[in-house]
Amino acid sequence: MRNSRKAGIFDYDWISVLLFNLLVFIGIISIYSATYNQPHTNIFQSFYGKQILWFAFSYVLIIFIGFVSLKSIKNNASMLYLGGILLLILVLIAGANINGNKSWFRFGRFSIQPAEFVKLLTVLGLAKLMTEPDFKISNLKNLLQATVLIFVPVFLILLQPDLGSAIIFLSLFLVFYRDGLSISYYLLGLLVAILFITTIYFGQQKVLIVSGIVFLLLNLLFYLKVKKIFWLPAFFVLTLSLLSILGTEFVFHKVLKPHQRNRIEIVLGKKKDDKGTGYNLKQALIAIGSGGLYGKGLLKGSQTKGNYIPEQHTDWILTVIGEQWGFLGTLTVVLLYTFLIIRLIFLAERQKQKFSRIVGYGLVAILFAHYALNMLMVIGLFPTIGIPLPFLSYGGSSLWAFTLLLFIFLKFDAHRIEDW
Amino acid sequence: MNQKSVVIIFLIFLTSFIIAGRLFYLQILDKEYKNLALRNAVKKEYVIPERGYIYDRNNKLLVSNLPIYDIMAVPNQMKAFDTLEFLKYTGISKETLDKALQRAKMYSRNKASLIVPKLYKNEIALLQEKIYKFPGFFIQRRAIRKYHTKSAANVLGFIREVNENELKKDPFYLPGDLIGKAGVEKSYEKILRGKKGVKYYLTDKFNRKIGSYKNGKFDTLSAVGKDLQLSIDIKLQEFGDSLMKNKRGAIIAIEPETGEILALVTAPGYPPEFLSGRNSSKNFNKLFRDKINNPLLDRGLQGEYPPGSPFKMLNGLIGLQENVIQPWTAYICNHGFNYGKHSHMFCHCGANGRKVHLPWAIEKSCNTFFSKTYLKIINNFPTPAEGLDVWHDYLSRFGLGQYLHTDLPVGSKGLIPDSKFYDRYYGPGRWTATYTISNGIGQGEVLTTPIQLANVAVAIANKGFYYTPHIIRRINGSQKEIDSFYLKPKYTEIDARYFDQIIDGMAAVYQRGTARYSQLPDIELCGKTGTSENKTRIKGKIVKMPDHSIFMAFGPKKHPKIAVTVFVENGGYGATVAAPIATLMIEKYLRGKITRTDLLNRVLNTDLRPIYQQKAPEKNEKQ
Repeated sequence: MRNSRKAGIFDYDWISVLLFNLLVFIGIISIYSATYNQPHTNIFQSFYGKQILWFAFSYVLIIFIGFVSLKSIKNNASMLYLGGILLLILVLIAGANINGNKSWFRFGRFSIQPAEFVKLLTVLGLAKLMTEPDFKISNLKNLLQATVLIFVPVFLILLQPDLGSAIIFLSLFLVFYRDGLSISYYLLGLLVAILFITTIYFGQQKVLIVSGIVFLLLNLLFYLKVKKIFWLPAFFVLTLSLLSILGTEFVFHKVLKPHQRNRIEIVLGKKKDDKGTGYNLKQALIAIGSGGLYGKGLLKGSQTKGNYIPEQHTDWILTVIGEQWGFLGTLTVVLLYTFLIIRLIFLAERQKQKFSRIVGYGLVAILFAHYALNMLMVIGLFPTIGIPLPFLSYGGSSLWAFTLLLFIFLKFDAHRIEDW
Repeated sequence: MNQKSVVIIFLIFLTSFIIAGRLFYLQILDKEYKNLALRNAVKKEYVIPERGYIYDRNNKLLVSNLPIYDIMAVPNQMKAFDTLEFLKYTGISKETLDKALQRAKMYSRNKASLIVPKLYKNEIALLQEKIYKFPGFFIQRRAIRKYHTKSAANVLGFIREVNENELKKDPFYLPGDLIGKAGVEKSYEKILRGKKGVKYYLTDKFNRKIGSYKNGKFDTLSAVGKDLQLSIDIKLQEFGDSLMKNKRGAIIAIEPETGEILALVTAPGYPPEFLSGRNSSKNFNKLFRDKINNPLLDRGLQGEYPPGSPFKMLNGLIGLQENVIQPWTAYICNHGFNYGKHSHMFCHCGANGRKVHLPWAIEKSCNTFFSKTYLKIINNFPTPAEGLDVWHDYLSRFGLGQYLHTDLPVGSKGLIPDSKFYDRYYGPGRWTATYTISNGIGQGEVLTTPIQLANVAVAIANKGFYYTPHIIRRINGSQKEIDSFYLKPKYTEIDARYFDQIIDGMAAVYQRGTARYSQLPDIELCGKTGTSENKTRIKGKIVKMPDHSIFMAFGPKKHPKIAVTVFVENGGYGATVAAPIATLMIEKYLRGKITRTDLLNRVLNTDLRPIYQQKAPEKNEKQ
């Protein structure tokens, strides 16, 4: 065999490790500039000091992963998943109530957000399920199983309630696509989303009429081309569309809370509320927009220094980068994420084992969802939801969960040649 | 690579492209956000400089600044505090405090509001030491004017908060700024106010300062207001005040050599501190509503009266210059003369059929001489209109019938009629010189203000020229910034030689004439009494009141150092009140002491209030 030796530390993908360190470093600098002027007695009382601590501890976790055998992870994946579910139930019972959300376990001065770790555990559980013998995602029964596996944590997290984290789990459906699920499911999902948005924007009546005409035209075109009518799919699409359009009103007004409605309307430009719900977004746009090409320089951002944006060290950290380093700064961060994600896809694709490939795609999906939704939210293209920017935003739970997921996958990758 | 992974990679690229594109739009293309960020975070703060001091001509301090303290509070920074203790330190009532706090909360929770205004240093001392006990409260220092004299309120003026109009007119001012509203505070506002400094601060979302903007690169320093040295002699001014006690009227004293106003007394007046400090608004309303005494009216600058006999000097001068009379010209006076079928000009000069020449006519104030001279001036021209306009132009060059343009913000034009005036009244060409004969003796249509008359005295003392009367002497110790208008002589276009006879006549007034009882030992003075008739309406009936007493003087005769005009409402003959006052003013200025104590006592004991009381409408009689 060409590679009979055991994989060592140098077999970890150094590009991914470098990108990881770079992102955390940028994060610490940004957290420092966002919070350095807030009162603190010593460096480890401050946000940036703590983030440095969390970063140091994430290396403890990386070393720990180095000692854990991949086999035991794979074999115990179902137990780990169930443990995660248990954590989510426990947090609903014993969690600390912070701003009406029961998302945190509190241990003295420290808090831990189990949902962050459950992302990792769900990925492992999913990988376990999908590597069962005879599992085929295109099989409806198997698809249902996998969907339930994702929706159990989603349901529990919605009870906290934490809409942002819940939405992130939906990104795991991307894994199914890579594993052979037909694209038509995704197109149907896209259709529902488009109908939902257009109905809110234009109103039920207009959307009904226009989509009806489009539906008939498409069918006609299709018929003219293949001279055949597919009654069942057509009927299915029609029903789904009608349900989406008619259900939008209900979901929008009865299911969503007023502030969520506001956020959607603000993004759609139907509402202006720069002092209320829209305050954060407005101030974020001012911070980013005033950065220009080069930015105002480190610690020179008036928006950042003035604490105009609440949570600028966590979910809104991009505003700090945008104001201080301008377009060059934000573009750098966008490119770093893009490179990292694509690099991880590349790594996932070179896996010999299905299990590790699914873990890789799970990581890609979650990372991508966090990166994309957070940035789209900060630049006003997606309604405000509370999700952090991976590796950059302040917060131990988020950093550790991503570190664990990344390095478990990197360890799988390092050992891809071996038969574990 | 797997085909599906390519689709996923494409999806990721697409998303990143959208994000980068939007960022490009926000950060590079859209310029609006830069301004919004500045507007958000950069706040200007003005540094108000100290207002300039005001001194008198002998460098005696008249106006300085007094620190005064406001207790301010920011509601959101307040914590529970001992209310009783706070009330004890500040001396305000609980209701006042509660009301002020409520108002503050309604205004803004994050911005400072005024809680207790205008406390003096001794009143704030206790609280200042204990302010740490009251979080959210702080003490803000500002300045009000402190006056070192009880006189000259009309000259010094006062400052107040700017009003809407002033805010609109001059971008220098911000709401709450102080501005000169009267006197030199108004006319020299731009010099006294100094230059505001600007400091730029970065503020956080609660509007709290978090540091300077760009290390103060755009900040500008404030410049302290410049000091004024006024031309008034405060001792003379205060002395004038004491002389005018219980009288109404004005005293104007001017240095002929320079046109500098030495004293500008108006009576009744008020102490300048009346309009400064805690009760200024209340006091202002009180003064403003007092229409009986009208203390806000500067009678010296604004009062318009028939000048009476002092005006005769001018007709004499014009007659000489126009060559219609000669130094030896004399007229026979027979208790006056007839100038028309049924028209008679009365005269009290006592010549009784004898010939009267110019100096004597002045000494005895002969109506005949001057009205005949006046008629000759007018009739020297083909039409009375031409003659009158020539006469009018001469008087204009003395500063009469128009604003004098002193450097004080108020004044009146007075009235010197020209041909248009009578054309309007009688119709063009339908009047003759005799219609206007009263102008010859300073009655009729002629009106002057006391300062105009004082300026005439200056022009006579200088033999033909004057400097426009002004109150400014130095700005920050130099003349450089003084308007050159006040430093240029204005010529009357009457030859200096014609003044000699006039001056001799005025000297004779003191030696033998109407003011002989007021003459000073060792100093030769020149003067002219005036008496102006007036009537008033009491209970619907027109009643003749005692005459206004007028006196115009300068001295010493050889090298005049001071010219004075005194005007006392209802003071009787010019010789009774006005002449002694003018003489005392001159002596006070020239000698620094009073030798004619008899005159002084007489003036001090003259109380005209009973006469004014008659004029007052009944409802105000209790005042």
